[in-house]
Amino acid sequence: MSRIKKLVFTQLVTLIAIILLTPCLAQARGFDDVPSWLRQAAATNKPQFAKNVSAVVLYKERRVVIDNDGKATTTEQAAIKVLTPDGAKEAATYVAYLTQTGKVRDMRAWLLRANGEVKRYGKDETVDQAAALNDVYNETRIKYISASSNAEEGAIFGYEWSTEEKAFVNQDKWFFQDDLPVVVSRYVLTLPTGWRADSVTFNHNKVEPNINGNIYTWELRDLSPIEQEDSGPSISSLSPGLAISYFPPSSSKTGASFTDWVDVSRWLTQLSDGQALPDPAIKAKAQSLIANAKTEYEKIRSIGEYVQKVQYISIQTNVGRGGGYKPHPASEVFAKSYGDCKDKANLMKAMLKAVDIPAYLLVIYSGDPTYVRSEWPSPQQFNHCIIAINTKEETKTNATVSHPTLGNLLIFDPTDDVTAVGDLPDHEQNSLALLVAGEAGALLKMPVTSPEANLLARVSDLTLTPEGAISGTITEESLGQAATRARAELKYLSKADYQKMIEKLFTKDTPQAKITKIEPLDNTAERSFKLSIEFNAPNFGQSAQNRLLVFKPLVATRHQVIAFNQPNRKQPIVFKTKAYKETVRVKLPEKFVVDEIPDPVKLTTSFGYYQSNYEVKDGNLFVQRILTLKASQLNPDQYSSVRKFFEQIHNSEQSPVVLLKK
Amino acid sequence: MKNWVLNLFLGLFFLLSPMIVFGEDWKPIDPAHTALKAPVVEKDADAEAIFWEVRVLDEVDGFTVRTVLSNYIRIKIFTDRGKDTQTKVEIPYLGSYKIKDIAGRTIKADGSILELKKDAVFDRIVINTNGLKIKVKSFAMPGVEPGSIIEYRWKEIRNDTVSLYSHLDLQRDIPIQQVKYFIKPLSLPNLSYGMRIKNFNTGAIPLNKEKDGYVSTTLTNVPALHKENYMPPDDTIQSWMLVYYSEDKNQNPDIFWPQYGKEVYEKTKDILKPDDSVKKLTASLLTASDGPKEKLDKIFFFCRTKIKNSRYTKLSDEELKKVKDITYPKETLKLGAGAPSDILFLFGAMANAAGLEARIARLSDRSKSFFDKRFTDSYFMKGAIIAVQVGTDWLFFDPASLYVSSGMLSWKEEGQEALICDAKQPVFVRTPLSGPEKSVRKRNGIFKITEDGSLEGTVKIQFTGHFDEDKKEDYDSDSPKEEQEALEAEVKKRISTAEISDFKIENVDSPDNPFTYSYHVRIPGYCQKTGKRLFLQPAYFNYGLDAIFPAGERKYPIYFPFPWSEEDHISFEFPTGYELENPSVPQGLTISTVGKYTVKMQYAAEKRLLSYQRFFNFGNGGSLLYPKDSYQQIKPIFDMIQERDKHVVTLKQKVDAQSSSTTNQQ
Repeated sequence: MSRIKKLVFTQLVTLIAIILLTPCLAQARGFDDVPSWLRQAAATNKPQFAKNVSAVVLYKERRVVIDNDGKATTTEQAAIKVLTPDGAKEAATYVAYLTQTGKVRDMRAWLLRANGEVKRYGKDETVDQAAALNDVYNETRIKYISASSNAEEGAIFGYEWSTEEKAFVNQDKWFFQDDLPVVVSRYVLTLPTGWRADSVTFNHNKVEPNINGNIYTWELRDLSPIEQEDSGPSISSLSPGLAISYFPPSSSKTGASFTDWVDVSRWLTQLSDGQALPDPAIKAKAQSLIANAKTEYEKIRSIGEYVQKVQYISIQTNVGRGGGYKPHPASEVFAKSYGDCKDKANLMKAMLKAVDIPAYLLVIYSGDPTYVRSEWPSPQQFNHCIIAINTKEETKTNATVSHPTLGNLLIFDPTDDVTAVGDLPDHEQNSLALLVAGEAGALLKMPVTSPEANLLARVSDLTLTPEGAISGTITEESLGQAATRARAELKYLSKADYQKMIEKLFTKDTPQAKITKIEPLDNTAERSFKLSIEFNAPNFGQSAQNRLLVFKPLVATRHQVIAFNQPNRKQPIVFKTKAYKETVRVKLPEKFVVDEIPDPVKLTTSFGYYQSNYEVKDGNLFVQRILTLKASQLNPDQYSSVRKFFEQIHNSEQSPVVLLKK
Repeated sequence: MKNWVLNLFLGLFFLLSPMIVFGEDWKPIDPAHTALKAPVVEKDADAEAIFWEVRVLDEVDGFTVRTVLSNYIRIKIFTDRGKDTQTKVEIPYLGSYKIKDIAGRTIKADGSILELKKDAVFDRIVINTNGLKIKVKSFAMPGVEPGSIIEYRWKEIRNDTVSLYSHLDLQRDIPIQQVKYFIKPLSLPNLSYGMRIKNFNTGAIPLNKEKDGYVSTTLTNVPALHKENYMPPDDTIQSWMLVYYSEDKNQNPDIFWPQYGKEVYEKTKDILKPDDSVKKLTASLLTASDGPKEKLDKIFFFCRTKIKNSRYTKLSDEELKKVKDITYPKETLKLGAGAPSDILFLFGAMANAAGLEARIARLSDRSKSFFDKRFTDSYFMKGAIIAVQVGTDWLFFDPASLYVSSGMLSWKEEGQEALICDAKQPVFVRTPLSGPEKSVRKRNGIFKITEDGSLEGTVKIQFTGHFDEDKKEDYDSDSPKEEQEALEAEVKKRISTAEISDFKIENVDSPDNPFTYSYHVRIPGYCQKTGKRLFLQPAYFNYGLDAIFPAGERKYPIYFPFPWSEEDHISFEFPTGYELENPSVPQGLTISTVGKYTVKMQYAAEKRLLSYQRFFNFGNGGSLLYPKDSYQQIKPIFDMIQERDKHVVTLKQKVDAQSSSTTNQQ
């Protein structure tokens, strides 16, 4: 079966299973078997919301009971009222479980339809599916009930599920809400006698528990909806959340407990340290890789680039016993030439060890630099593993941080196969990451590279004919994360698709453009990428009445356009670091004079800088534009200045040049 | 002692035998393949299958039948991208099937071999719900790098089934040097059904007799399947094979199709026969003065608006249960609801009740394949419509498709050979293909331009014909918010700075009124601005659109699904103090007899009002399919139109007040 067919097959089956089958099989019955908590929640008077609020959570409660062996029995109940047709999709619930160490004991749901009918959802309507379809294997699964296709405005969806799990850490994390408003949301923890619990609150004033004997209850009420916006923080940085750690008496043999980050480092070190022993094959390979390296940086780069090419393949077993944090032995990963993030980082650690360069695993949260909170020491805050390499002073790069006792640490992500050694993916910059180094372990702030280190510089050398045809060369040289983007395009697209991508970039603004040469050149040693293009377009300039010739000297569109087109803003604005510089020379046709060129623009703000200049000299038009954005998070009250900044840039870049026939 | 030795020998034999078979079953590696540096079939391919062999065995096992598919593929890896795409292997299968005997190995460029270990093969349930179970076997090939050869094989056992209309691929996502199928049909004495094998898009390739009752077919140098804009359906492009069993009937199309048409007629004639309730209802809808077309219009309207169609309407559990039990139109009528086929039959029965001659007509789906009557099997004839004879003409109706415009069929059914079933003389009649004037995108905009170059105003877009049908099919199950987000995204994809408000969508699920949406828009900097001029692209609806054919080269024919038109009426009110400077109008373009592009502009100086009208149509005369070689003619036409859509008019700041002027060019 071809890959395309496989995909379609899987999607089709999923579609049939989730969308069609489930609701059809649900049984409609009377109100009698509806649990009292749902009836009570359904009777709640909901507050008034704006028209765009699709649903409201009337009641949500999670109850976790820990027994003396550390086994957690979790029950969650919730009632969600659908307010608009779009809210129908909220009439669904899922629960994740691990096949080895956990199980879903029970899962049921009810839909109280607006016409009084009650639909009941049980085992026959539950979909059980693999959670991570891209992994070769992953024991995490989810159970899912959806009542979406029957949930009209006014319907109330209630669900209840319970799970059992032998937890490997004595911790839990819970969000009081996602983006929907909430009337009441509650987390109840019951501990065995002699145990105690601590909690940390995220994105909200501290929520103190109500403690009744060994029962802890955290509760929030009347939470407003959270609206996510473009270039805004992720929902996990906005939604009120609770991180709970519980501690058994010292004699208890249950899951791990952590009081500080060194505790977490010790635990992770003990899981991973023995896996990084370089066997003879690894030693030989490492030595061969550095044979021509003259400096420490070159040695690290040679090994780093090798490990980047080790394919990312995820096989997750033993997750419920900490397997998600334990790399496969480096020798095994080396022999198979594949592994997941921790396997790759661990292999690199072993190879560096073989050439006497000390290195440590570093756990991080990939995708949201604000996710990890220092106030909650927990391995559960991380979803990714990279490496920190102990380097000499002369090996210092943009991706180096300083450790109080270990000195310089060069941070590198060998899973990201397009970010060069000495650079760090922008979604990891500015994050908190834990150095897995036993007693020396510490939570470290990841470096933020400067805009200049991520510069994209484009130089265009063009000739315009009296008929409006244009031809010439465009050369782009990019650094840092700009080079990463360019490198990714070259790496992930087939040669034919790469050509199509470049053609599309040009033909959007320049119909009939023909690309005659595409020459990409990757230079990972310099963390740079160069792309040279030759092209021509017959009718680029527009002639008016045989007198005017109008054209835009900025020939190719920019790779990424930032636009803010909402009138108001509720959430902060998040910028990643960015720098762009373009220089254009256009040889103008003889017998034409410049009638108009765009006005120069210079914008200076706290978050960015923009400048554009146009100049005519010796029959040539010279254009220069520069854009710099700093990595920053701005308050919503700065939105109007942000919006104005980008509007002015857009207007300036749209402006044409007008030539007049002599 | 002897027994002990014998037992040990047998034990070792059984333990070792899989390993022996394992080692022996791999075909020898050609050193030329190990040394191969570049692909043979397609230049620039990242990986290439050296061979792919599939054995298809239909067999009887006791009292049951089964199909066993044995796959064996050998792939050469040329690049890192090839490594990344080919290392991970997934074999999905239904829970009732079995996958066994998975084996694999990697042959590195230096000749060393890494075996796929048994514990590296994982089995898991992807999805499990109420009797439906989909599983997948997955593994990663060890030690793969550019220059490696990987090979793996597996066996799929499908119990209780045979190769009945099995769609077998001869093409993959990578090029293949040689693909070979060995096929062995079910061997049962006195079976009146024979296995048939039909290749598509392969050219003539012979079937060869092989040992053990197999036949084989081989295809060499098969390129990978690619995706392009406006390409014909996959089944008309890719190489594939249909394996099926059919009766040993006469395979002459002139005999086969009439016979098939008679069979369908016999099966449906009682259903299309109206009973008293259908007759009574029909009579109540019609008047004595109604001609055949009026009668059909009224019946069509009734079936689409008064009978709930289970494909489009949420029915209660009780209704759904009753719908499943429907056999005759009287039951559909009584329930007031039915499945699409029930509504089709009801329409036919009512037409017959009205004294007309209604038949079932079978036809294929043009979005999936192109029908060729020389293939004498009903496999592609999956669609059904109603044909009604009016005078000497046959009129076609598809009341089961709620959003098909009156007087039209779905575009997938138009321009198709429809087999009109009959007791005596079934005939093929080509369904009409609606012209460009039937499927129109009507777009209106009323805008004001401000001195800073911003554009603000209202937009209304209406779709008719096949556009209308497609939009409704796409959006009718979405919530209003999802509909709005999707349509707004279309605008913002073209114009990222667009600020949209007052978005309204109408007639999303109306069978009779056109899908329409409107919005208010403000676009800062829509006009390019210099010190004394504003430059306006009047073709607002084409602003920022990607080229239809951006690629310089083409692999496959070009195929437009249906003829269409675009009608744009846009007005711009200019800011005071500006006047048009040397206005010009983009030239029109006549595309042979196939299409036409026209732009008209008028300027009323006293009102500072520019009126822009753009008309485009394509597909006249049913010209929808163009060979690959014509790409170099088709692409420049659409490039030229895009270029003319980018035409700008210049507004210059007035020096003195000037008298009003009018421009009207074409």
